[in-house]
Amino acid sequence: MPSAKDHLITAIRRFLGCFSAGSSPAGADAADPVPVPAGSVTRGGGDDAPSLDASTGGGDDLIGSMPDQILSSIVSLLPVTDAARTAVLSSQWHGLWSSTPLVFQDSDLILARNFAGVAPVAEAVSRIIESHPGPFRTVTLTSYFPEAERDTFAGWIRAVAAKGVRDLTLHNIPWSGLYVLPSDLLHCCSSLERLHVRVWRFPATTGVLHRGGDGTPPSFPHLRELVLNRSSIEEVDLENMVACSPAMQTLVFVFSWGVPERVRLVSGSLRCVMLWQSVVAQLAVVAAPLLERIVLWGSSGPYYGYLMRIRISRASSIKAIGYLKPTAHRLQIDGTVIKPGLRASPEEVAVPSVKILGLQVRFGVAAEARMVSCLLRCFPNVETLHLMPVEDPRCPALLGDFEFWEDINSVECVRYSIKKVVFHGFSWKNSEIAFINSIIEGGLVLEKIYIFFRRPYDTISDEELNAKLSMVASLSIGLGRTEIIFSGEDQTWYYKIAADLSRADPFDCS
Amino acid sequence: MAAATDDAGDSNEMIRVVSSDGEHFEMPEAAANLSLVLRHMIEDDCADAAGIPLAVVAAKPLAKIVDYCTKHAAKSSGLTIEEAEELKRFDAEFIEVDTDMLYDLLVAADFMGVEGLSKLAVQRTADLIKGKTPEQNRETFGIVNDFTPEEEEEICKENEWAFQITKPPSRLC
Repeated sequence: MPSAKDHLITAIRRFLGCFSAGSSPAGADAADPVPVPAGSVTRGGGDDAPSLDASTGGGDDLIGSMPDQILSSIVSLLPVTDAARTAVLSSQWHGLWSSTPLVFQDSDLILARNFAGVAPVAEAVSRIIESHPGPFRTVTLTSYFPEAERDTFAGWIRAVAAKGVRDLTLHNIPWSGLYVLPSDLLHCCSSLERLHVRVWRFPATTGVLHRGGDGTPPSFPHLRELVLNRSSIEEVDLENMVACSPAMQTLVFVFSWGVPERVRLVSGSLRCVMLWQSVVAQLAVVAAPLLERIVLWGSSGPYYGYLMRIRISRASSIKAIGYLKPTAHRLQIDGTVIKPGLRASPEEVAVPSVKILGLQVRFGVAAEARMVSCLLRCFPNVETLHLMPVEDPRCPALLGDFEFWEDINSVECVRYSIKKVVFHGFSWKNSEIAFINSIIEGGLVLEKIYIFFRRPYDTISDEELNAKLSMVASLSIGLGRTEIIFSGEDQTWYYKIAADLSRADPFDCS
Repeated sequence: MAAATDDAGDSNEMIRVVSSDGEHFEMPEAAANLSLVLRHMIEDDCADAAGIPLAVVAAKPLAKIVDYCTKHAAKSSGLTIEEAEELKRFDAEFIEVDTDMLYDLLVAADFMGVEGLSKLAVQRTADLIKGKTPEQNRETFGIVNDFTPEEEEEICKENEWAFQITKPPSRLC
């Protein structure tokens, strides 16, 4: 029995260790125990404070004389045990932790150096939730419980809800035995602003959630962001969640594996939807007038060919959409499916609001080039084009005829609208160079091309690389209107960057 | 002499500030704008040749803050990756200061409303506290323990979980 338990504990710790890069074992910082002599700053706030350096002798407790809000912000950055232990430092610190809105990640306890098992951790979690009077700002709770102890976890949810938790992350370790998230969450968490659900099956919502009206508030009046990570939710429950969260701005799926099969958006507040490494058959913007951002990364459909259908409307506010895969995503604008040889006039399929477009392209494939032209015609006002090359093992030829890229320089947005092109993971293929050549020729207003490259470690020598570098750099010389900027290796792009609505461009990861 | 503010928006303009102990400093307007307090004073035409007096900030921390703001203002928008990295390195080195200076920066950045610097100093302080025993923290920060042993024991008992969970080999509480 102990060995099985040990296995579980090790697995849990490894599992959680993946999530919390921030919680390194404590004690890494070597503080110089500098004795504290004089201070040169007096407290702000006093109106006539003449201040300064009047030395007041060694050993002054200056930190204790700081405004409480500074001390509170220090405490809220500490792992929970360190934070609570500050109570014993001195009478000035006593009470500070309990009067600071709680920031608590249970992984701090699970990853602690002397972790001995989940039972003492669970006990500590219960004590923390109970002893801190609230409000709770940011709380992360993990279920490592079997079905028989479902109510312990449900009780935690109720308790943090009662203390007004605003940002809640609920992890699950499903092989402990719980799969379905306790539905208590749906009843009592009206204070939530951000909810992150990780590795859970979302509970049934029908008859539980309410949309508000007639004097009653909706279930989640303040919820701005919902992240469903490695979790499943039925279509009807997703639609309910969105409908009962009238402030929801951001909806994120990370590693969603086919449930829901369709994401159909009806929301008067939603601004950003994201499918990250997810399997979804259809994403349909049914009625989301404020939606400005559709971010897709590594997402495809569940069936043969992995085709994913994406339906948007001409009359939308979408400013940024991508990364579209030209042949794996089937874009439908209102009633029209976008494909080569389309008879519809540009006005019938154009989405004028889109300014930023991301495309994930197999540059060596002719069919892909034809689709890229089709897609570009749908977005006549694109100013920034992000491109990410995809390797295609079926077209290994480095040399070849890539004249098929010549057509794109006749597309309207390429000629008159695109000002900036950003290549992410440029891999020095001739097909990519052919594309750049074409877009420089056609791009009458193209100002800058940023090239972030991926070093092809084994396939190309330094000389060859330099030759290609010079060749690409020389492409712009003839016309002289476009600057090519070699920007080094790309930063990691991850979903938090893309979901950050304060950033103008979700695909810009610098 | 107060005519300098007429052409507001000229980012080349230098703003003068005076520390509590009478030392004068200069920084570009874009740098001064990183301080909420200075920005408001500039907007209200209070920036003149005599300099904006900062009654509660002494010369030593003020010199650091001017340094911080100047660096960050010069690299505020459209950072390349290298520049962002460089700024990170600058911050890391900048905040490697003794606890005296750390207090001064905490209070001065808060008073002047320099958000980035406040965050940096608060994080640094938290990093110093993290993983230490109360006794170590008292020593580092010169905190005087004004509890009687009985009171201290009582408080430890109140939050027993916090003292148990990461108990190092030696006596903690």
